[in-house]
Amino acid sequence: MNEPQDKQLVAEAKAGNLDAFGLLVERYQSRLYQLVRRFIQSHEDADDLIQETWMQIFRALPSFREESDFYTWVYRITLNLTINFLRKQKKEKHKESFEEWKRGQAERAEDKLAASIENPDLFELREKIEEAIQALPFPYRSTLILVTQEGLNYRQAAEILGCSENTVAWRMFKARQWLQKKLQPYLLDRK
Amino acid sequence: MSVHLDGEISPSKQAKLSQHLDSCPSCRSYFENLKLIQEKIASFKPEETPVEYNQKVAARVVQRLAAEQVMGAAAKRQHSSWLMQKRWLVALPAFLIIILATLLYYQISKKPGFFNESYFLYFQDPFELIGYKIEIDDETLVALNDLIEQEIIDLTLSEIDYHSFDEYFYLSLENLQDEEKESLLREIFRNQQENGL
Repeated sequence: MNEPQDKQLVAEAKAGNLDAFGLLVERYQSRLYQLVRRFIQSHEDADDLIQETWMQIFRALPSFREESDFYTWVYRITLNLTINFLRKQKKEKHKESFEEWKRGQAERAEDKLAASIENPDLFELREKIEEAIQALPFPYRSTLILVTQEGLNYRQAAEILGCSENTVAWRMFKARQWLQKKLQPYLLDRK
Repeated sequence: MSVHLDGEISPSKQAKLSQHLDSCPSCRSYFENLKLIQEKIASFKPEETPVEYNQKVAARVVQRLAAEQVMGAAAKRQHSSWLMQKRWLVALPAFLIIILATLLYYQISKKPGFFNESYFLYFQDPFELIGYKIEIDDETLVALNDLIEQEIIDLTLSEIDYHSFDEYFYLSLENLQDEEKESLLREIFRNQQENGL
């Protein structure tokens, strides 16, 4: 038996059919989870955020005019909510103790990098890159993820992040400079 | 190079860059490193979630929505009958709340003074300082450009693109003296070098 198309399920969900909406959640949950996990390391936070996102998506369904397909619409909402979540989380952390948080974050990243230089057997470029990305300041990290991993162009990333395309280009440049600098020891080893 | 890696470079700049990379081993090596990092980052993909997990999430979401609908309908019924009886009781506090919210809004939207030391302590990362905290008008932009040209040889204002940060304004440079602007820039770039950005 063929599975119902998105359009049909969306129409039913708009009319208040929660089972139809549940099928849409099941269908796209994995993709949204993958998207959110690029930004959020904790499974618990990602899980909570996605559930909240689905709730908001359902509430926003009446405003979905179906000019794009359902997943594109959902994708944008999820990205926006994820970016908002991280901004809020960042502000909260600043409120608690900016100094400690900043020092702790930088030290953790530095320690990991230093430890792996001392233990070349543990060398794994991919892991180092992930650590270096996590240590990037938030605006640079989110821009890098959107452009490099999500494959958005500068215009699309700028729209999601609420900044100009020039800012996106600038952040990409600085993020790469940062990664290049942090990863220099590993890159030299590879030559 | 960065713009090229993102596929956003113009054909003329692309040709110039390729030409340069062909003749400059050091830039070529730098570019290859960037490309290697780019490929690694692009290949990262979080694992797919199991079907059972997706079903559980769907069930929880549906359950929450159903509960919300039931509660919403009940509250609406209760609310509307109560409201009809006590309309004046709602109108008065609502009016007061609007007045208070307006006053509060004007209070909050007042911009803080620039020389509040806590901003420097709070935003030690220079890029946060640039990104989140500075408002620039055209006149200040020219003044900043002059300072950059005098002090920072390897940067230009167009590279920094101050204009583009207009989504975050909290502070203004409008009231700063030239010496103050200069010391701010020195501070920014000193931190920038220390932080390795």
